Amino acid sequence: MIRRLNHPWWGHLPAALLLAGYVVYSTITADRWPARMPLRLGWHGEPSLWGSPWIAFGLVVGIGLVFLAISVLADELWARQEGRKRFNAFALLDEAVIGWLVGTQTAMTLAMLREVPDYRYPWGPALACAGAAALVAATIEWMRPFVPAPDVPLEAPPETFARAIAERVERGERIVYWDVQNPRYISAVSLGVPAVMWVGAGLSFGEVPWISAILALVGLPLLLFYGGMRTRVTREEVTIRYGLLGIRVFRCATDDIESIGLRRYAALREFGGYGIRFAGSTVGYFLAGSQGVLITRPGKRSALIGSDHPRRLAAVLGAVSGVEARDLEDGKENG
Amino acid sequence: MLVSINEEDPTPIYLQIVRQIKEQILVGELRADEELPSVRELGDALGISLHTARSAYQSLSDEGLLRIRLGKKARTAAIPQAASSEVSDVEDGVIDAISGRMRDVVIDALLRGVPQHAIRSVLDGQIEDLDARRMEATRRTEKEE
Repeated sequence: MIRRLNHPWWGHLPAALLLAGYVVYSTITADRWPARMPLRLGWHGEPSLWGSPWIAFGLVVGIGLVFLAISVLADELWARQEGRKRFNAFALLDEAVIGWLVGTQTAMTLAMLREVPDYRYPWGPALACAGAAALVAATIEWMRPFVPAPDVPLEAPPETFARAIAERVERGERIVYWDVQNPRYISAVSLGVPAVMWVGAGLSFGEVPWISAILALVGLPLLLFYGGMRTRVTREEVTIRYGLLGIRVFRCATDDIESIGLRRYAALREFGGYGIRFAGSTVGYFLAGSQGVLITRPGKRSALIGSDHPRRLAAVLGAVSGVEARDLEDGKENG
Repeated sequence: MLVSINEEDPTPIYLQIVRQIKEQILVGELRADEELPSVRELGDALGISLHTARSAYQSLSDEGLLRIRLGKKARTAAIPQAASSEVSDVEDGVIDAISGRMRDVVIDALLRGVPQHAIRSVLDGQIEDLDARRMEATRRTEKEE
């Protein structure tokens, strides 16, 4: 079933039009492009790498499309998790980035066509283009209508499951509960993005080794997210492990649990995204969804554990710790 | 996935694990392609030997309920819709195999002096309990979708 978009598609029109305009302008002027142009400028503004103008064109369009896609996803996620209209600063991301790229590259192309003797980074045009595009995006975001997201009810109370776990605890059985959050996007991001980074690192190694090093190093932690998040509950402890190596990021003795609550969260607005996120005195551990279990511990940060089956997780935590799980007020705002 | 070990149950530990995972697959609490803990993790969490945990997974794999690949996590296999009270096609030999196992249980129960009506009642109770859990899991899935 295709779900209707909560964030209007026309919110991305300025960025898309800007990119389309750049493609049209490039197509018109391409026959006058020289064989080589500066692809990179050094700290002092002098060109440090030359190459075909088509490489620059490809980079602007490619990076622009990536940011457009990121913005579409982020804005939709925001819109689905807002309980009332709130200004979404992420909506400016694609316009600002594409504006900056297009402003820079258009100014460079103009300079190239005019055969200026020395190239300088076009800060003025880049800033002006990015600023104007961001302003238009802000206006559109302000005009954007609020579309209430369909209410996703909390998981139905798993009565027989809760009864079964309570009986097993009472009988003194050894227990393990296993909860996995491993959405498809995690595999794509943890394998695809490092692959692109390492290819980039390989290509730039001869020219700029320090950029290669940064790309290679940044790609590595992303790879470690492959496999998602696993929450394990036993009678003695709750642990959360992430990724390929199963690195333990959270551990809590069940005796230390002070309270357990079912809670909804707006990952982007409250925590700035998914992963391991800090917000006030709470650490969020989630890779998807908007429902989880909040554990509080005396003298320590609270842990919000995302789960595809929050009530089941809460039932198990309640049974092993002897603390009753409660429904907490939504993180989602009410009208 | 929820697994527990009852030390007072005379059933071998690996069979306790097998039975619980099967139940969860049947009632829909474990869906197709769901990731299970590794043998090491399961053994570590339950305080059982790796051999016992591996035997449980191997037994489930032999029955086509788990997919185990070297170096990868065990995952539940795609299971054809389990039969409800409606008439459904069953592969040749399945009824015979089940009948043989049920006969063992019935003989065991009769030898221990359990009356026939109690055996029937236990069987009905088991079917009703599993059906209730399956309905609950189905309702939950429908709400999520």
